[in-house]
Amino acid sequence: MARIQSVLRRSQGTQDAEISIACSDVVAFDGWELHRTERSLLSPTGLVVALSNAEFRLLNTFLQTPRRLLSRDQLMEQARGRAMDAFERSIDLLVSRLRQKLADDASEPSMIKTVRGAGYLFNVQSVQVRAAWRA
Amino acid sequence: MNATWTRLGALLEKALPDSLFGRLALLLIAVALASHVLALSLLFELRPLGPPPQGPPPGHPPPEGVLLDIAVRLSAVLMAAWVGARWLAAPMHRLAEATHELAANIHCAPILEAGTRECREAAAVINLLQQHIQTQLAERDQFVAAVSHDLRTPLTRLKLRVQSLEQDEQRQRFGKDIAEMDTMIRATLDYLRGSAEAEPWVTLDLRALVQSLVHDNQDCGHAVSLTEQDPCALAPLHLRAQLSALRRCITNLVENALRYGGGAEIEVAQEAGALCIRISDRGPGIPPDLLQQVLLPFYRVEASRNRHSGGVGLGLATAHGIARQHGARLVLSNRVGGGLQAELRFSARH
Repeated sequence: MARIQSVLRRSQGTQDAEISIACSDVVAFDGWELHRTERSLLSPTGLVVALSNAEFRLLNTFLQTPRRLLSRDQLMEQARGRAMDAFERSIDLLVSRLRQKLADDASEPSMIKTVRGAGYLFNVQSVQVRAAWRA
Repeated sequence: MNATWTRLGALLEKALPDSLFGRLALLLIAVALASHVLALSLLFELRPLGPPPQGPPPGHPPPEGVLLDIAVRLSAVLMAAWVGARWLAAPMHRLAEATHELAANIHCAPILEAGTRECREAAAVINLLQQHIQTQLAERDQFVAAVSHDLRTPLTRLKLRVQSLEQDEQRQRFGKDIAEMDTMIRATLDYLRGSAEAEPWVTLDLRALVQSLVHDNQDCGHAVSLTEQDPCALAPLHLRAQLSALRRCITNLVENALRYGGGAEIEVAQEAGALCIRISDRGPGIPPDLLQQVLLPFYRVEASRNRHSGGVGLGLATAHGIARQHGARLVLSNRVGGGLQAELRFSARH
């Protein structure tokens, strides 16, 4: 029973987060900030890192479902858009680029974890939204 | 004969100091020395007439006391000339410096009207000029921005109305014209925004910015490639900049390369502490005498007057404006083997 409740609570929580994340300007996670209107990241050291469109969409997908396993197909559909023809490696390339932007070491990633044969998992402690803030 | 005179004149001009201070100092020294020599020669001329002094007989080298005396006088004269010339030249120097600042930034504070009367008058005239230019700039911005904005509303209405047209062919043609107009208006607004919008300055990673633009273009199927000075280097390249403005600037240069060259090769480098972006294509290039002019707004090389290949004529002007705002230099040059290279070089202090 307790387990069902906890699952329910979790799903509810992510749903709420999804809604608010989708319409907020700034999303903060683990010292980083994603600024949507400028399509850029603000690093913990205060450096502005620009994102490409695909990286931006991928990060958005990750932020909407943190700490949940996402398969390559799911990510591809969300991040690249359906019209792009999907070839297997392109999502891996995209993930490695995003890792580089997030200064996440590719050999031992802490933020975007690879789950062998299954997909990726965005491993951040907290995702918070807040009103637009300008550096 | 004439040639010797001109050569002598040139030599004299070269020997003369360049600055006002130098010339004043030289003049004062010359005058003081001349008066001294005159006074001394008069003294020596009078001396033989009087009774012979107790000192050494004439013809002997002058004693040390006299030499010391001359040295002290000379240094006093030099000091006086230096101080005097400096005092006279200072207001002019200040004015020149203030004008320099004005040339770099037309919106800087007006020049302080101080110093000699001539300097005050010059400063007042320059301030008046600055005011005129500022008013004209503001008027132009307001005018074009208002026109651009007002044009958009009916254009949107037109866009909606076109959808209800019966004939397919007509509808497509109308749609194309409207899209073209929309692009022109957007480019105009972009150009004006460069000077009007106050975007915050942030420290950004130039490498990440260029990479993101390259990847966006590659994802759209454009032939854009990125080469880096040091392919292993991943360290961010820090730059104080306005993100959206700089993004627009680089995008415009890349679009230009794509439009005329069909592809762009982009290079990011750090040379002597200065960050540098080079965007090259293999298009037709630009005639050498027009390389400066294409940076002017609404200027297009005649061959690209046709709007199907040429843009509005604002892309490079916008990029140039943003570069200037960032203290960077945008230099266009024709490449060996054909094509154009646009180099964006940021000053080293960033």
